[in-house]
Amino acid sequence: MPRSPIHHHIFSIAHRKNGYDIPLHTRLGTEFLVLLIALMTYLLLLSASGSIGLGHMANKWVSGLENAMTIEIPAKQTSPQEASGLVRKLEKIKNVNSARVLTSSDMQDMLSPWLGNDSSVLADLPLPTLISLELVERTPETTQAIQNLVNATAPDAIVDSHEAWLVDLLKLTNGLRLTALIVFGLILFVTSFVIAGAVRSRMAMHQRELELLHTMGATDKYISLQFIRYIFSQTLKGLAFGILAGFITFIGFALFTNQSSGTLPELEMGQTDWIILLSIPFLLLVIGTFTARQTVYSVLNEMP
Amino acid sequence: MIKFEHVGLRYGIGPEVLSDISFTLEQGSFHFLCGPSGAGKSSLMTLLYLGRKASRGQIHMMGKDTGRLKRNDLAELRQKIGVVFQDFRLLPHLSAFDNAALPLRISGVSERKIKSHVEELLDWVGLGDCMKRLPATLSGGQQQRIAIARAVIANPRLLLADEPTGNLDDEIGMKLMGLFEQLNKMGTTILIATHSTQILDRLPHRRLILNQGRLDIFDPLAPNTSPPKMPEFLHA
Repeated sequence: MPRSPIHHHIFSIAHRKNGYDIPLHTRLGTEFLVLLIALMTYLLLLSASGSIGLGHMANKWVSGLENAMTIEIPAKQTSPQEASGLVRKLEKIKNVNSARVLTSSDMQDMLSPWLGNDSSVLADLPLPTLISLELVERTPETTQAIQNLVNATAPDAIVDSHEAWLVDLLKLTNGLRLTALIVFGLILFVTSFVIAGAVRSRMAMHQRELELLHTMGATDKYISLQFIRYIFSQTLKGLAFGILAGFITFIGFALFTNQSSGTLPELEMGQTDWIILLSIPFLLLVIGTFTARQTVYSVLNEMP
Repeated sequence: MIKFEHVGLRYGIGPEVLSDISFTLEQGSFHFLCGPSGAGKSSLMTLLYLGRKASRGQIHMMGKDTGRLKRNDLAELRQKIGVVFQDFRLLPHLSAFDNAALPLRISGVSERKIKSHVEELLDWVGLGDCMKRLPATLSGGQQQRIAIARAVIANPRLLLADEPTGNLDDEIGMKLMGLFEQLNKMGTTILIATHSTQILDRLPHRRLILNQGRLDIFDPLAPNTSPPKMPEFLHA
């Protein structure tokens, strides 16, 4: 069976003890590159998982509140019958899925973190009447129709569409996600820069060997494969350390969030999220080898 | 085979170290390159092994204008040139075997062939017992023999050697010159830069004599040819 030049190259490299025509592995600095790639991997995993986690949080907040509204009628300004009448009218508005007056039991559940479970305390408080609305879809027309009805029925009532703080919250989480993505991009750029620097310094260190191979007729491809192989192996080592550190951090974070009070939504990772996280090492490998190749070619281009 | 036409070479913006060099080396010829230190021998060798581009003029090699070749074609051309450097330029982390095998690996020859060829050649140059040793553990003469083995292992069409017998005793030096002559008989064009009067006296091949960047050609066997004004160091 005929053998390709690549086959010959891989075979010949495997035959040698150290594996390189250029002694890339014999000088100091190799550990530094591994450490840097480990750090970059770790930071990439953190920024990517941070971005994914924030996305999930925002989605949960939005899905919980985007189709919900609350009408708050000040205490003693309406009777239970009037409130029930308002509910019936509200349910007839287009896009309103359901409406209901919150019971005293619901109120107690909401206020128990502050007032405890003693129901007699609630009875003494001038609590407003709360009507919870669930919408099929939030449209300006629907919001306006609800507002008009409430104004006509209970002029002092407040319609809380949660929009103001929901928008602020979304702005904040989206800002944080964008920041995490920018950090992700910056880390990739720095990684590429570091690898290019490492390759250039190795090429400068081994100028004589490079010239010799060049003189003997080694093609740019032959020489670049040596550097690509070197960067590939160093990147793999760095990835292993980075992934291990990331894994330990995730476990620590998972343990921490399990013990939290439940104020924050839980971080759940879907299949796509895992695919994104697992693709980071491959991305780094591709960037590392591509950068090494381009750097070697650009330096070799300066030779005749 | 090789044709230099009005070739000049300068480094950066400095003066020309080679000026208006023109000569032809026929396929299968054997030449010595002579000249005092600083005459430009190394620069001429560098142009011959395509380590630099000429500042002016044209260099034709094996039927190709080297100035017009693409990078991969230049690499392919270099694979047909064997070079013995004065300072050996062995790779210190590779064994004698792997150093000698380099040109074959670069050309993509199979490991089976590499093994048989390299072992045979290293045996022939008297280094059969040192194949696994690193260059640092070998004497200067042994290192030079590895360098020579590396230069000839791929059966080059052009062999360039810079003082190849400088660190060898007379017997091995002449034995290696015998190898060069054998290769020459098989069609390899050979150019050897040397100061050795012993070699120049024994082997009456044509001489390219470089002096202050200019080239003269002297053929000791040609009738009615008076040698050019020779530098004293040659005693020829």
